[in-house]
Amino acid sequence: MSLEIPNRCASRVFFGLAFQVDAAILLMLRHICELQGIRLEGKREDIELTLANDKKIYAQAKAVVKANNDFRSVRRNLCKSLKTLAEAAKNSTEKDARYIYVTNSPNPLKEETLMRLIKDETLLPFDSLPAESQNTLLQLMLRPEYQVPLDRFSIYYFPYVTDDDKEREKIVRNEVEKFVNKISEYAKAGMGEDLLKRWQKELFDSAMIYNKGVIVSKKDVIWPLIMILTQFPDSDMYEDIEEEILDVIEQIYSETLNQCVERWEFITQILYDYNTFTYKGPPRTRHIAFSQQKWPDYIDRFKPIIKDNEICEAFTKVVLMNVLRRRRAITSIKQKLHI
Amino acid sequence: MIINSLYIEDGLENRKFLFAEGVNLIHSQENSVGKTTLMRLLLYSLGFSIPGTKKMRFDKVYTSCNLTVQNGEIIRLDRKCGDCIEILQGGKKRTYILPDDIFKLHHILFQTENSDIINNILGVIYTDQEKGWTLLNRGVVIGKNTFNIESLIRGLSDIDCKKLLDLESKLSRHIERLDYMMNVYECQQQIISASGDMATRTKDEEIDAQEARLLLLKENYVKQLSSIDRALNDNKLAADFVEEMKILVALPNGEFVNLTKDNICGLTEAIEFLVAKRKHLTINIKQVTRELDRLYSSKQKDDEQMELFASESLVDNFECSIMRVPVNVVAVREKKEHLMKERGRIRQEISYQTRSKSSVIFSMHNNVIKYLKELGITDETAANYLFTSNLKELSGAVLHKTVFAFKLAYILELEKKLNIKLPILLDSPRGREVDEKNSEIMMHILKRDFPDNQIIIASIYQYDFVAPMLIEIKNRLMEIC
Repeated sequence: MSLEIPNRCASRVFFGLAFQVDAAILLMLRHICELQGIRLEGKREDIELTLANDKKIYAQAKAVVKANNDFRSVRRNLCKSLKTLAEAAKNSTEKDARYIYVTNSPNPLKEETLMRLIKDETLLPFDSLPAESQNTLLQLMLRPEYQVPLDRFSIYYFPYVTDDDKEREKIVRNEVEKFVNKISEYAKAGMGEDLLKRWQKELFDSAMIYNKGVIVSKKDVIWPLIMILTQFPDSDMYEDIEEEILDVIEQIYSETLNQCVERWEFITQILYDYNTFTYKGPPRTRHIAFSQQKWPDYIDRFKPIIKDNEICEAFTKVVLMNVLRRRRAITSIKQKLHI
Repeated sequence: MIINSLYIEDGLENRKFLFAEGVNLIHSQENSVGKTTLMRLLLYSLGFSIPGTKKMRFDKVYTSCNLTVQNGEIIRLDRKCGDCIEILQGGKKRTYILPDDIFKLHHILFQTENSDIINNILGVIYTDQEKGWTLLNRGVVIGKNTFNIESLIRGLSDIDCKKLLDLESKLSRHIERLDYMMNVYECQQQIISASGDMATRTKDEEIDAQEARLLLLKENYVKQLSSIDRALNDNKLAADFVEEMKILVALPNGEFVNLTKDNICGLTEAIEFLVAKRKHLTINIKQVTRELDRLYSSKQKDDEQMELFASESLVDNFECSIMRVPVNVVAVREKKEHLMKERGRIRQEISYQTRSKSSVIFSMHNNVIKYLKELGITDETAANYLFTSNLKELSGAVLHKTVFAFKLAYILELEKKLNIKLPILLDSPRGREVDEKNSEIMMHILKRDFPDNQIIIASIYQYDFVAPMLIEIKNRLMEIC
């Protein structure tokens, strides 16, 4: 994890925690539409996801520092995890809860057949495991302390090795990047990285909270995404504004811009006018047309602040686009993620 | 307004000067006996901020000025010290603190509340011996008092440029701060070039630079957080306001729905967005604070080791502090350039607005031309110096006469606006370069066009006026003749 972990990841404890955080993010992305909340170091498990209709996913995450060639502790890790998951299954009232063992070891059961099946990021329900692996698990679960409902049990693997942050987090970074690109038309390169850092901080901080009832809600997860998607727009968004003028706006008037687009009194005026704006072109360009045609209606409020007419006009357009883009981003994301 | 008398008390000495409604000549045979001092004391007694002379500190002097204002009322102004003045009017006494209450006081004297006019009245009615005869349209009248033609025209034309002026002022302050930063940078360069050994400071510099960067970053975050809190508060207030109105909205299907915070479009998202942004900033602030704490504890360890060595001198400490200040000189220059351009545009806009009401300018211009012609200046371009900043083209007697012509034109416009007669105070109108003939023309104009104004002239020369009030000063101001 590229957070401000005090020690290098040679420290096993922090390596494990970092792995847990990234595992939580990957699981979260898999269930992002139905997600209601997520918690690390929860009441029962390392990772607890709450989905729609209060369905639960409990996960145990175990990382090995030199996972690619050190398989000495894989069985021990599996047993520890099964024990905790079994405890959760026994005490849980949720009948549809799922149980996942997350690992960075490509050989989680110390069996070659399974090792050959596992590549990059892999989620294997019990039924998809090779027969040998299924037998291994069945044998283990003869002991009551390891009994987990097998029809709802999965093994989840993703590679997580080396001290190099970039290499180690390749999978989770790619997944977040893919998610951002899929969720919004405003996605740009680098936004995934930014979002990943914010999610890591959010989850890491929540793990430090003693009160196990505090979870990271879906809104806590999604709003950072919206913030990133609607931060100061880049020059591609404004074909008719020179880059130098956008630079001036960013360097000198960004505070004014934020103050405008954060005030609902102003936002609602724009949304109202946008709602009544007649436009015959394609819907995806309506907001662009609105900013290009309707900016004269708003420019007077900025003239006392920005004397240069050209900059003032550009600023007005940027404000309108920013408000409408944010609105579009929020509406689109809410629809796609069932918020 | 007519000044009737001025009583001066300086220590154990006192003297009272009486003034006539018409022409008054403060005269002495010799130079440097106190004519200018008397002129300035007159203005001082009216509440203006006038510096004393070599021989007399005004803040130690007591003055009492008796004057008649336009409506015929007689008032008395007593000034015992530099920062307050008492007015006795209609049997009532009021005290004004100076310079804060100067507008209230001069409102009574000059019958106007217009700050642009009040700020420039002194420059119109008074021509100082030293600076006055080169003050054409902008500059220092005396002490901290300044005159600005554009400001006067705005006052005469009732043009309000307050917002632009405030913005200009704000930009000027920013530019000034950037200049301070440049000074710091230049100081750093000097220290670097004077310093023989840079190697030993490298580690300290790195830590200091990092500290400065983190502190700046933290300050920026805190500022953003404050802005977000204000926005959140405003949004919440707006939401409460709308909800408290208890509005019912009719839907197309005929149903009615209550307007609440939850169904107002965009409101919830606006608030949630700000809450998320606030949270993110709080995390950033914590992170920066942690990094700073780590840095400080690292520094503390280094400092403890350094205690074994001799402590640095005051200058060394100062140099160390200066070197720690991060100055991105390129960014500062660019920012300054931009702000100066911005300020230039604002000044142009102010100038444009000032000159947009042409009737005052037109009238002033015509009067200037008229007087210049009488004074023998036929070059028409001289009349165009109404707004000029280029005084180098004028010099000597031409400048002197041009200033005189402009002053009279200002007085006429001001009197038209205020509908009062203003006193005209001229200190040494012959100056060094004006010959007798031109001096006579100047006096002739005064007699002809300003017969109802009180005129007070301080000079070693005599002028051809009918029965002027002669105020003679022999050897010193306080010596009674």
